[in-house]
Amino acid sequence: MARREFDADGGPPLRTTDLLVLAVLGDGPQHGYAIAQEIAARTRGQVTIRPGDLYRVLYRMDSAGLIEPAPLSARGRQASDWDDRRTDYRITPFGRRVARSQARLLSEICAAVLSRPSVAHGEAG
Amino acid sequence: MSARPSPGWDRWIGALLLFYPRRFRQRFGEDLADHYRTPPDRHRLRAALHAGSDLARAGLGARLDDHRARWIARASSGGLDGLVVDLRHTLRGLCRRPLFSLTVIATLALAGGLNAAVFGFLDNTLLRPLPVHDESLIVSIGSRWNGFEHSAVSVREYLDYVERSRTLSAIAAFTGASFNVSADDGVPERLLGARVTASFFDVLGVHPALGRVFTTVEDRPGRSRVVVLSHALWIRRFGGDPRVLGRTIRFDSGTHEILGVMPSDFPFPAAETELWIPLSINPAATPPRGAHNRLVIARMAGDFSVERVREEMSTIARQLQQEHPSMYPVGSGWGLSVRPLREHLVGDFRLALQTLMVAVGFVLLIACANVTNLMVARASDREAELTTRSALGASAFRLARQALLEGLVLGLAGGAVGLVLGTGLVHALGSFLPERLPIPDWLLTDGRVAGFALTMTAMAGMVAALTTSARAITRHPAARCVAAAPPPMRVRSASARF
Repeated sequence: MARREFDADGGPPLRTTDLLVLAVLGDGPQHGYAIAQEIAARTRGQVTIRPGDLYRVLYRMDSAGLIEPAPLSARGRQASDWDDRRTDYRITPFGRRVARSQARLLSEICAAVLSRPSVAHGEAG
Repeated sequence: MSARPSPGWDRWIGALLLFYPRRFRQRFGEDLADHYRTPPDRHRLRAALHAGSDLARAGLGARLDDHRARWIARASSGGLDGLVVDLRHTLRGLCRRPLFSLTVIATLALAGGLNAAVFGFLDNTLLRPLPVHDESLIVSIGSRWNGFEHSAVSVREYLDYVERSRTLSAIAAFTGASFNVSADDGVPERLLGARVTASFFDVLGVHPALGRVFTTVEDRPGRSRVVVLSHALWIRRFGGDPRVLGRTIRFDSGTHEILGVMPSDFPFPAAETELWIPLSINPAATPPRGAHNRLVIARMAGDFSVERVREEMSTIARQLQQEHPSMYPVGSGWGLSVRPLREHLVGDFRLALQTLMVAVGFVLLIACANVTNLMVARASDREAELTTRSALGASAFRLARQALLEGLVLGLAGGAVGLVLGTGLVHALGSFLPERLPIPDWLLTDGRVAGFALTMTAMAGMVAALTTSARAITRHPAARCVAAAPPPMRVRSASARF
């Protein structure tokens, strides 16, 4: 079987934006614009994604099987005509596994880095 | 949301979307364009440039992402998992057609065996470094007579060279001999050995693997009851016991003390030599000058070339001719011949071996052509198989790899059988060759020869397999299906089919 670009059992770390998108979609399906707004809100404006980049990320994750378009019936909010023109995306079970394993990996990496006194307390050497 | 439609702005955004891959545009194009649906009222040029830079960068990035994902998928489908599957598939396919497989293996084995045998000789004689120290400094010195280019010298002549030469740092004389080992030391047997001067080991620059070699003192007449064993004899007769040093071995000529054991790859003067005992030249009682029964090798002093040694030997020859005119008559063509050691060992066989190697190379090409023919004969089966695999999603790369694997498996099998055949051939041919030529042993365990033969037959197999399958692999999948479809039941004419 061909190996996927992303791996639920390890593999290279996901990019930050990819992981943030998975985190947002983990709470329920969203359309592109809402995803970008939610990311900005959750990171207190530290991560903002331009539309061009956002859809590049969605395209990449969709190709990798991490997310998929959500059918109308799966939308948890009130759909209007305008909303119906937009595609909502939802996380796939595979994407959920990848998000979980990647978050764990990332927290271990952060813990390993912060466990160094020179990094944690800004000491020299 | 778009209060004031602007066709120019929409066209600009549409054009920018072209930076993205087609699949992206089909899936996300509209959603992305929605974000840019409303042109700004002010600073429209700046906004257009911003949108242009964002979309162009992200679009090209998306294309790169696509390439990266495709590369990873292709690399993994060409990885170990796929390889194992393909290998299993190949082996199953070959077992299903035993007659075809065995014919191909036999064809490659014949050519591979010939190539292995000849390459074995070539490698042992011309390519492999001799197991001596700095072989370029070692020469063989012989007599030249009418009709004889490089023959033995007498003990007296050898002593003359030792006394008069200034270009040689060490000169050694030796002769082959056989020895009967008495039953006291185990099974009685006849051993091939050599009587050599103590300088023999200095000339060759080799050291024993165990113990020591004899000294010039032990080389003197009456002091020469010592022996150096070959590695093979040490293992065979003494079980490789390191306490063998100092023990004696009884020949029919008397007992000799064992001084040392030579390394396993020391085949001088012949591959079969199993022991070395001192030549023990007595300068006061040498055989007549005309008794030409000793061979001479020498190590050149560092600064001298073979040409310089030849000049010196010519001078010495002229002196000897003047001093002993009756021994070297003018019409006899006598002179001294100096040859580099390898040239002496290989002699006239260099050209013959090289020619033979080219010839058996052609035999391998013919075998490759034959294998190709055999594969073409079952091309229709193959075509159907490739079509099925292609229809199931196998890429041209996978199909090519499968063909290469089949050729590789057949080639390696042919090469392995060929190495066994080649070993038999070497031993059959060996009896027709001079003793001094090193004869390759069991070819299958000789890394260089086995590597050469297996590479050659594997390449022949792969070239044949790929040549046969190339057309089917490179053809478009749809065309493959048409080509592999069974012919219509009844065809009246070509036009009737359309």
